[in-house]
Amino acid sequence: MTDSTLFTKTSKLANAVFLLAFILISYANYMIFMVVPNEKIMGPVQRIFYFHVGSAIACYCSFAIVLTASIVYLFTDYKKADLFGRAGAEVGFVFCTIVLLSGMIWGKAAWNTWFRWEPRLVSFLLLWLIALALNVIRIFGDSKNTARHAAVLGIIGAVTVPIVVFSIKLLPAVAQLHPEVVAKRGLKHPDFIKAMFIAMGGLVLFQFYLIWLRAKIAFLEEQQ
Amino acid sequence: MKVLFALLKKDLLSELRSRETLVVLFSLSLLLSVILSLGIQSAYLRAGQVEALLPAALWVVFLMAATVSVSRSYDYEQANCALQGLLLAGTSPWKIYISKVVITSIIMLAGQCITLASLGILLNISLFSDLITLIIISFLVIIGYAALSSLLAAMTMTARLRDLLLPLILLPLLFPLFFSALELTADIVVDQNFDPGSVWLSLLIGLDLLYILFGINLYEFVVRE
Repeated sequence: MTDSTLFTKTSKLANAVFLLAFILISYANYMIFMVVPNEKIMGPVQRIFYFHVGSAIACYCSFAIVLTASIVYLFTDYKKADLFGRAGAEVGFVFCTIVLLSGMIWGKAAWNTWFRWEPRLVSFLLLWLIALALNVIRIFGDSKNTARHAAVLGIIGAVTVPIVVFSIKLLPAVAQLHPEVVAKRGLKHPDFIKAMFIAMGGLVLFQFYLIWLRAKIAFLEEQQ
Repeated sequence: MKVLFALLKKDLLSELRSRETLVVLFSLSLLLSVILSLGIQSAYLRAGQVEALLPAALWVVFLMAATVSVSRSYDYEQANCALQGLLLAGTSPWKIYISKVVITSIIMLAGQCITLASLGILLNISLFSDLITLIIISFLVIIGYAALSSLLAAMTMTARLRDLLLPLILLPLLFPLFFSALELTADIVVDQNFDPGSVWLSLLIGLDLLYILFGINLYEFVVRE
């Protein structure tokens, strides 16, 4: 795997994605801290919501990339797909950690508890553990067949993600705490929605750039 | 079919001769049941509360005992490259996989019967009236468990941290199966209201099929050198 044309060809596109992500995240920050009004019940702490939701969507996108890259690698033996699978698992783990931590901080401020056995909270904790498993196999797995084993686990792990998210909603929620913002149209003020989508777009684009960058680094590491 | 039966016979005979998985599974099931029962008894709970803890105790014992013992089934395959020999002889990987799943399921079901009996006796809960339903549900959970663990155990058999790595990659993927097992067992033991049309039962059967499908299609990629 010495051919670096994929990374040289896409470097301009990746830089453009990074620039756009930077502009969107900067504008989202301006909106979140200067424009969007305080939420009536929770007050200023609700502003963590914009990073929290954006990171969650970026995390789901990472799992989708892991799934696609794993299928491509297994069935076509295209070596660079493995690099993107690896990058997707690592970046997905980082965004999953951000969702968990920001959720805990928000939960402590809004509900006076760091964690509660509530469907949405539990599902992200489980996704975090799945993301951890996808990375653990690459660190401690059989060194000769790591790429193939990681791809198999990547497919199973990524398919398990929606099953976990939907099956956990079937559990009886003793107290449904997590707000269903989008489904129940909880954001009334137009600036709330605008800031949410700008932050989400910025974070998803930033995640794409990070995956590309991590895959490039992994490629250069293998060259040495 | 001839090859599949020959593989089944080989796996069953190897298990019965070495008895490694059986001994480890039975001993761990019993040991963990005693430890959990001790913990539950020391809380001095009322009769109804003890029953409410049974589903969690049952499946925690199963997961721990099964996960520790499942990697044993690949020990004799690794010695003298037996698995590679089978593949070189032209055996389809999916047949080797199915054979592993069937034998693992039989052994795990025997272990689950030990856990059911020991937890029932130690926690003083009568499970006789629901025993058949409990065994059927356990069997369905065990099929899903065996389908996924046989695939992942093959992945970790040559890894440096084999016995430590398997639980780390297997348990997070088993959560949906674990939810179904918990909910269905609670319906049977605690609520005494098992509904065959339950959404959890459909999810459990769906997961079994999905994991077997994964195994049949992906096992080749795991064992190929």
